[in-house]
Amino acid sequence: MISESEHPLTGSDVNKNLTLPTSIEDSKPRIEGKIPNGKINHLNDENGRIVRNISTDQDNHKMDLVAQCTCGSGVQHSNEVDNDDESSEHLLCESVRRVHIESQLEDDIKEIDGISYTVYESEKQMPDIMRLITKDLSEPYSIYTYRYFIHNWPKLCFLAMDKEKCVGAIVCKLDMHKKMVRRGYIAMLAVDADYRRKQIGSRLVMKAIKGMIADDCDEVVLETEITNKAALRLYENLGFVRDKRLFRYYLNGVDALRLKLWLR
Amino acid sequence: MEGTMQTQPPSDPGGQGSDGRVDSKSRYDWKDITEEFMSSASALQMGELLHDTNFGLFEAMSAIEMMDPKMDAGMMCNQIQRKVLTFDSALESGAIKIKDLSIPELIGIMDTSLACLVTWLEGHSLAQTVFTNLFLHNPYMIDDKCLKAFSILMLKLVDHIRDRVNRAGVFEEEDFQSLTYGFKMAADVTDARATGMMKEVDKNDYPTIMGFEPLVNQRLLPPTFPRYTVIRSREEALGHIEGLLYRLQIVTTVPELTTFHIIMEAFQEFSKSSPCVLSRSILQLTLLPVNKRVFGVHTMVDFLKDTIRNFIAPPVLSQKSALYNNSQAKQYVDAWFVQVVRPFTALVQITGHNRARQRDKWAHILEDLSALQEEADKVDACLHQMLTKMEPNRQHIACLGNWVLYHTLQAMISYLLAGFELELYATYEYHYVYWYLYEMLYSWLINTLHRADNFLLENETMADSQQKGRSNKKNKKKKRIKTLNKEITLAQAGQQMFGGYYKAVMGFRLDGKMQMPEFQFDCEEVRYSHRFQPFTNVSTPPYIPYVQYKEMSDLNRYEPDATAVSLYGAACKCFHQAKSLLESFHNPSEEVQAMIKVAKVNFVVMKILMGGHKKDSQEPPVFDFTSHPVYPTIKMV
Repeated sequence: MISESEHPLTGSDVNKNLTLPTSIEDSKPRIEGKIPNGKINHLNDENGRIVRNISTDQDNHKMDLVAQCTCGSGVQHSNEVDNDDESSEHLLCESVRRVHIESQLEDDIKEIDGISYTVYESEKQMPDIMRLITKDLSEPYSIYTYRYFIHNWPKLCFLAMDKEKCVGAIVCKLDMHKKMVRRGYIAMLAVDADYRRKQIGSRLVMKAIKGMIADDCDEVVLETEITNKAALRLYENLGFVRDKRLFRYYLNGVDALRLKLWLR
Repeated sequence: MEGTMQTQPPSDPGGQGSDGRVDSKSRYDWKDITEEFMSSASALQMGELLHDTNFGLFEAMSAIEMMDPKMDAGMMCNQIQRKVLTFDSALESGAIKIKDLSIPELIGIMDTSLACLVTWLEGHSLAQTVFTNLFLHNPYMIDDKCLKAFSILMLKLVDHIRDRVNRAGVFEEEDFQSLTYGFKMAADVTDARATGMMKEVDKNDYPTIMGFEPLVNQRLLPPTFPRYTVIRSREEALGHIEGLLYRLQIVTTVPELTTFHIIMEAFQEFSKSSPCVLSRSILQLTLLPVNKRVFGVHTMVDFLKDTIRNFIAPPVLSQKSALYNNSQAKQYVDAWFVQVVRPFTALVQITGHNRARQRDKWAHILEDLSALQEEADKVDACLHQMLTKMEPNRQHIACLGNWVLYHTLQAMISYLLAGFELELYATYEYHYVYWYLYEMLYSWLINTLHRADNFLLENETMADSQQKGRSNKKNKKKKRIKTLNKEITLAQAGQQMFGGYYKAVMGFRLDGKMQMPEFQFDCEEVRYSHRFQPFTNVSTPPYIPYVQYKEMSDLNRYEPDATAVSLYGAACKCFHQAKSLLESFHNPSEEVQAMIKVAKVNFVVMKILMGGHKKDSQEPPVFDFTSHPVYPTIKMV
């Protein structure tokens, strides 16, 4: 056995030693985290056009976004989407309503609505992450699975904290796929059941994507059950599309969809 | 280790001898290192991990925490109250009988075996399905003639199925697991003997089942957390078997099919119902058994030559042409045909895979087809030169090339349509997918078919004029023997349908009912390029990059007066035209009938939209794929 040096493993150290499979097909993380339903709160601006619910500091930026809107000026933007009843579910999944991403997210997200977003720092956070994610999974991961991702890519692991309590976590990796493409992979995402429908999941994903972009990522992928409507909504609202259908991917016979966000 | 009679591999699922003590004759030499281990571990810093260089993602995902019953599949065997039975222990304890079985017991065992077989064919491991049947572990010991024959036959059946599916090679890991874990599959009993044994016994009736132990093979499975395979119910299993037999009957009609095109059509039709891996495999092997001759009779080359003759009547393959016997021409053509076999065999095999995997394979084959087409064009050019010297009125330009192009276009269309069937496209992507189908692929397809049809006509005209003593005037009215009218009409109908959808979508956009999203990280040009990336490997038709697509589809440029209503009207016309084309078929297939229905409904919807229905509504339309996986009905909410 080769012993590592005394500091915690960093991504670059470990990458030299580990034989990393180049294909996601080698592993099949089952991601079933229950996540916010991506409900978007709309406000009308003075012209009756829809913008996101954002703080007053950002008004100027907001006006810029609205001005950049590429629909013809004669086109009316619609009013608040009602996400509550089942019949409008399809509207969210397939809707092409304008979605202006929170302008605050142009800058780094540190704290919003009392929830702070931090990057992984130490093994001390591992139990929280595991506890949060294990709750929502039907198949158990050993601690090594978590360590594999988090020790190799700590900068792609983010936690959502309500003061001292961890209420959300995302775990990812980023490496070469088939020697050609730098592919980011979202392995796990979970939000505490009491903190759902607050955009926490979406913000964690945004943080992760930005982290991946900063590291020269070409595309971001994940798999999710075709029946996991909440996950599909969350990611599709962020611009992910369905790249592949995988029959009987999960052991219970359910199909999966590979979702992908092409960055370039 | 293995008794001469026993079937199962040397593995004791109990892990211990029957008296509960560790087997003293064990193969392992355990050494207790707990103290050293714990003391070394305490020297590690928090977060420090000691691992082998080979410890990667796969190992991390498969790692288990030993003795944790949630993770360690073997723990189950040690912890459950009842003992996991083996054939021997079950026999000893009376849990199973090998003689004096009642009829209900026999029926139950056989039905459950079938249920296990079906569950296996749905993609699960033999260890957790068929081999949970203890009677299969030692069938030669069974006294009951019926059960013995059935058990031996079951082993042989599994063996034969494995062989066929492996050979056909149209499965992936989600479709089929062929690992037999070292089980003996009654190889020493011939098929004749096994079926003979079955014929000797004959009975009927009902269920109670001894002899099935779900955990008997647990230790054979790869080290992982415990997984359970739910065996299908006996009723469901019988339903599956009925379906399988029905599909196999269809397979027996396949040798009646004559050309490659007809076969491709039939195979694709068969695939649409998502048949099981076994029927798909048998279908493939029927066409191309081991010796790779078509139906075991024709060489692939002869078969394809025949197909091309029927499609485009190349002079070089036509006996009446001077080119046919020219040795130089023959050389060129035969050399080219050698290259044709592999991609065209692959085309057939694509239809044998499950529907999801087919999409990737359509994308992959485009490169080979495109290269083949370029080669064909070169051969055509040579042949054309030669031909014009011998028969000044005849042509050979792009003759073989057109045939390959026909298949390239079909593959490209299949790739795009698979995206609808597999529910991959977001509605904000429809505009470019429909445009590509309507303006590009179907356009090219129709032109290719017309060119081929012209060649056929030319060939017939040549043949007629070579007839001695016949008046040409009479022949002009003669009905054509070979024509591609049916294919052309279908292609035109397809183009009109997609034209209808395209114009409808453009209308909805102008109307504010379908708005283009603005995502922070997504960019339409990037997305478009990735969706159509496989087409960049094709030289004909040329790939349309995003910028060019935007230009070519720019309403401001080509239809500056377009309004939502005018576009709805245009869509209306398209659906109407599609309907008329499809209704011209005398004996419409189910597919055509379904298309007609969809075209009718969409025609009506577009009509009422033209009239101002829902004019002020911003509700997006719903594209409903329940009537047809590729041609949706448009519904206004």
